[in-house]
Amino acid sequence: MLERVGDARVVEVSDEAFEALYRQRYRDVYRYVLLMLRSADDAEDVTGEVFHRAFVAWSSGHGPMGAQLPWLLLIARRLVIDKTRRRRLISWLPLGLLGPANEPSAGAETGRAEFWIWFDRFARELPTRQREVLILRYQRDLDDEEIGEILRLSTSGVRSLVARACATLRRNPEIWR
Amino acid sequence: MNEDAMNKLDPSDEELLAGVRRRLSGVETLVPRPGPWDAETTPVDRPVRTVVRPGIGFAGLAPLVVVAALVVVAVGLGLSSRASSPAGLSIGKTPSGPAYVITYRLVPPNGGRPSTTELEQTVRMLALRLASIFPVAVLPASSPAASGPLMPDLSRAEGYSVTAQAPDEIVVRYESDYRMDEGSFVWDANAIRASLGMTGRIELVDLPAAVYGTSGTPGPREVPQIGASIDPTLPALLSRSDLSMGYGISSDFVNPDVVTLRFDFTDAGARTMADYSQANTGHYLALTLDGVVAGTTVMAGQGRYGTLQMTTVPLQQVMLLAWLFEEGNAPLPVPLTEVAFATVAPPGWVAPTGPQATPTPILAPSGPGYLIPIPMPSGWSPPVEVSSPWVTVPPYASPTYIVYVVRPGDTLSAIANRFNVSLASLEAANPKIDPAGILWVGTLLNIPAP
Repeated sequence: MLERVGDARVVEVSDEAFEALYRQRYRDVYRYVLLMLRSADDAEDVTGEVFHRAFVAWSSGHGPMGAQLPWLLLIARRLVIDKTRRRRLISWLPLGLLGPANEPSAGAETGRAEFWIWFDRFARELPTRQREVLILRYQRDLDDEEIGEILRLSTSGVRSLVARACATLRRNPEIWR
Repeated sequence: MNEDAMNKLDPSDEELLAGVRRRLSGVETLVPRPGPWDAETTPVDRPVRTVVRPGIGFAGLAPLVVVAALVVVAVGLGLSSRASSPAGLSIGKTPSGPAYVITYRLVPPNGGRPSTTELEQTVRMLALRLASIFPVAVLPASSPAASGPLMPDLSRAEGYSVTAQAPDEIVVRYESDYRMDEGSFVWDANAIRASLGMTGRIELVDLPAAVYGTSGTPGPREVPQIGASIDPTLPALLSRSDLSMGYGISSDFVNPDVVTLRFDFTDAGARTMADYSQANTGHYLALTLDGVVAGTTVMAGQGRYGTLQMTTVPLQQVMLLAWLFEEGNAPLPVPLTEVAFATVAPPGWVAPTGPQATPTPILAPSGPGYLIPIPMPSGWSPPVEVSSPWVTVPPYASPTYIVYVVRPGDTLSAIANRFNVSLASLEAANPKIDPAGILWVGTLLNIPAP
């Protein structure tokens, strides 16, 4: 659905329409990026970049062919992967100077700290893809087919990933209780 | 067992997922409301050409090969032993030689004083920019026979520090065990200034076939080599916003100094590239950094969609480009002006005049020396004279070596002719090449001064 076929162009859309999309979906994109990168600074940067790229694509007539949120999340996912790779590369550059370590819980309020403590546990027990599929499932208005488009999986692939995540959860009751 | 107990032992998938959803909802307090959307202020990375001073960019870096091990050693040895203030950053062992001390003042465009955050951000960015030139070895100009990558001498140290001096000054200090007239890993004060002033503008520029020829047919002008300035009238085909980092570094078995830099494009970039490559097969493309060629490649007809391989790029450049993708393209938060420059005697060295413990400002810039967007006015050289016998600050000189990347069809004698050097001196400058004279495409050759 998200693949562009031939030179198909979507209908010209206005800046106002994009602004509405931005308002409506900013938090959804930010949440996904934050949970994937676990750094508020990076989440802000990447989310900004997602909408910037979306806007550039949108205004040059390359907006989403189907639903908008999966399109945005697909952009977000690529940037997240990019960012993760770059972190790895950067880690061997002489840049221990890159600033404070990414510790979202440091100095935050207790509730936030609790969340990150739980999330650390969650991230430790569930492999990345299982975690990602649960994070996407958290978004109630995404169906499995759309999640599949984002993760480049078939619908049944998504379901089996969820099933495996459930099996992991069953072994670790403290994550979901 | 009753039903409740059964459920507890074996929760359904729905219960599990609902539990995770409930716990995940804790993230909501961490998710901010969107700020105002303003397409006008969204940075659209359209290139604006500026001309940098020749010699700043890769002309200087090309002959240099970074030794990654040095970084590890320097960090490992240095940071623990060297005190740094919270707003200061330093790297390397504590050297005992002379030091350059450059003091910058932050000049907010609307007057007033910079905030603490701005001061700290600027410190970090200056330190990052210095990090790009710090672990670099150069060949001593006097001994071309000792070519090949020069291993840094780890028994000697050099280092830099970047320190905030409240309320609005930043002190950059570079020091070395090396005497300044004997050659060093980092060239001189101007190289440091140039590095601090880099904007890190990365672009892909098409070299028109009518001027530069194609891969089979030479054109009226030579394809610019690494380190050459690009013709500023050529429009950029793609800029940084169209590239999403190619980190793919693979070493080349033939020439271990050469690594491959792979660029991935964004969707828009890939589309431009796909359209472009169909019509322009065989064209040369230059990857430029601040208008200086960092690598060239040939447009293949149907390459892998969305990626472009730039080979013949020394590791130093790849590291630098990777870093620039991450941090370097951001402008400094606040413009800087240089307010003082000093050379400082090391402890134990006797300098006839001047205090030694504290830096002596001896240079005031004649004009506003803003580092962004243009590093240095062309031809700028520091009117520096130090009245002590132990140190001379060399004027900024062009690199002694040109590095040439071997292309298909090249022969040693043809290259020697082109650069107007003798075959013997070319061979002497490149002891690593095959004695039978066989060249490999992509090999880097040191071209000695004629």
